[in-house]
Amino acid sequence: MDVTFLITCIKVAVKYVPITLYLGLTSFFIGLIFGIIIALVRFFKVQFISTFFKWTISLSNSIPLLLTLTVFYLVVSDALHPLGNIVGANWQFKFFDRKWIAIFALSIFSTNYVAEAIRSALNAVPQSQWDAAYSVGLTTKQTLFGIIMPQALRSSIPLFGNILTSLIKGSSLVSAVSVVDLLNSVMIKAQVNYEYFEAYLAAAIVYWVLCTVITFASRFLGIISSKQRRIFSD
Amino acid sequence: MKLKRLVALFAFVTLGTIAAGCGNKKAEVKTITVGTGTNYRPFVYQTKSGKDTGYEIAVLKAIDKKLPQYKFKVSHYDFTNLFPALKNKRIDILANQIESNSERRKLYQFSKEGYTNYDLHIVSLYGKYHTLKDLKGKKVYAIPGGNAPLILENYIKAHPENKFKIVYGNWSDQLLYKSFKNKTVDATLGTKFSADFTNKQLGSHYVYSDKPVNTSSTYYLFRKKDPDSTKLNSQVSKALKQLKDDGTLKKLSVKYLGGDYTN
Repeated sequence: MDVTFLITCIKVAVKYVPITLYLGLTSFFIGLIFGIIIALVRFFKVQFISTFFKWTISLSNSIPLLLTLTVFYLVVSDALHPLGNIVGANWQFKFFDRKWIAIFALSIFSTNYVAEAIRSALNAVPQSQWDAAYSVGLTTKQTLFGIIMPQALRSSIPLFGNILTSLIKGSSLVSAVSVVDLLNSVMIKAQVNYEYFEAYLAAAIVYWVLCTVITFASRFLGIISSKQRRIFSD
Repeated sequence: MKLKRLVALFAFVTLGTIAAGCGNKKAEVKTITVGTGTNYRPFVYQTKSGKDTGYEIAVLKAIDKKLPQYKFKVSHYDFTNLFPALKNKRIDILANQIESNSERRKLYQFSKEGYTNYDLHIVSLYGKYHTLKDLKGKKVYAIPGGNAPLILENYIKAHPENKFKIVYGNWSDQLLYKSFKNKTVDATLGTKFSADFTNKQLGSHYVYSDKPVNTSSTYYLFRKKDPDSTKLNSQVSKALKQLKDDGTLKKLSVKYLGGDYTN
């Protein structure tokens, strides 16, 4: 065990934490936007669209992330130029930032997770809340955004932490589309002396610290928001 | 309480089995396990009937023939798993076209003779790059693993005015060729024989620079601080020298790599 090299690798990995965070957070927020929309559509059982999303979610849930990344890479590298021609722009794959392929694939996953989390959170808000809101004359829209959604989002905060950590772990696959992230950076470092064990270990340590921080932060946020709620209801 | 005892017993039995498995070693048979990659054309690959073939395998067979006291057994590993396997004595020789550098020499014993010339040339589709200086502002593809990324990164560090972008990837030959065509990458560093081999396989038109940007050779790796390993190394190196001198290695190189790449 080469401790000096392990420390060197940790330093390299820490330098690439922002890129890993960027991939994770961007796809999380994209997923949040689309996830909320899909959750609402499915919650209110909007005809056709609801069934459509039910199938797309089950479809994208059953395809491994690595496969999505690779397939999307191949599709984009072929289709980008013809697509550009259609809209009259000169799009070339060589100018295309491959990070967006990674973000796209990760966003599909985060959309799924967020949609399912929020849908179950919406279902978990008791029916009496709706009845109470209607009884004081609120409309469905007012009830949803003023009463139900805040409760659903609040109870999803710990789940959001989980989703973010799974996205960060999932982002370690982006080397498939030639994006250098945390894991990839230490692998490149390790090629000098083939000390792959130390490199993997360094990456594991950095991932562990990163995900622990996120888990604690989300737990802390969850506690704070539930406290606020108590003050509010008093 | 009963459950606790049961768990303890289970853990004990498991550990015991593992310990027994580690100690169970046959000493009398002098079989040498050679670790190599799985699919690394034209060095190691499988024929349609599933038999190992390629330059690496052929050279190993020739060495084995020279050394009646040893019997080589080839075992396939993922690249990153080869190194721990050598350290933990699961394999005795690591044969996977390993290039030398001072960091690696600190950790492993290298064979005294190199067996494949691994001079790197600038490989591209149009061949207008002759030196690393010509790559200024271009995108250069590199697979993490060989010496190429190091050469590129060191060059950028030493000549920041001629900066180019390194695209790291582990692409198939088809995907790399496609990326060359849609100009995702402009050049890469590679050996002459791999460019020739790909041209033959894919019908691509790669060209390489006349002068190499780096001269290198590949070696077998052995364990350090292990007398048996040192003895094996000297025997294998001696056999390799003989193969070089009597022209066998050259013949194998011409057959598998399409030219003499043994110096």
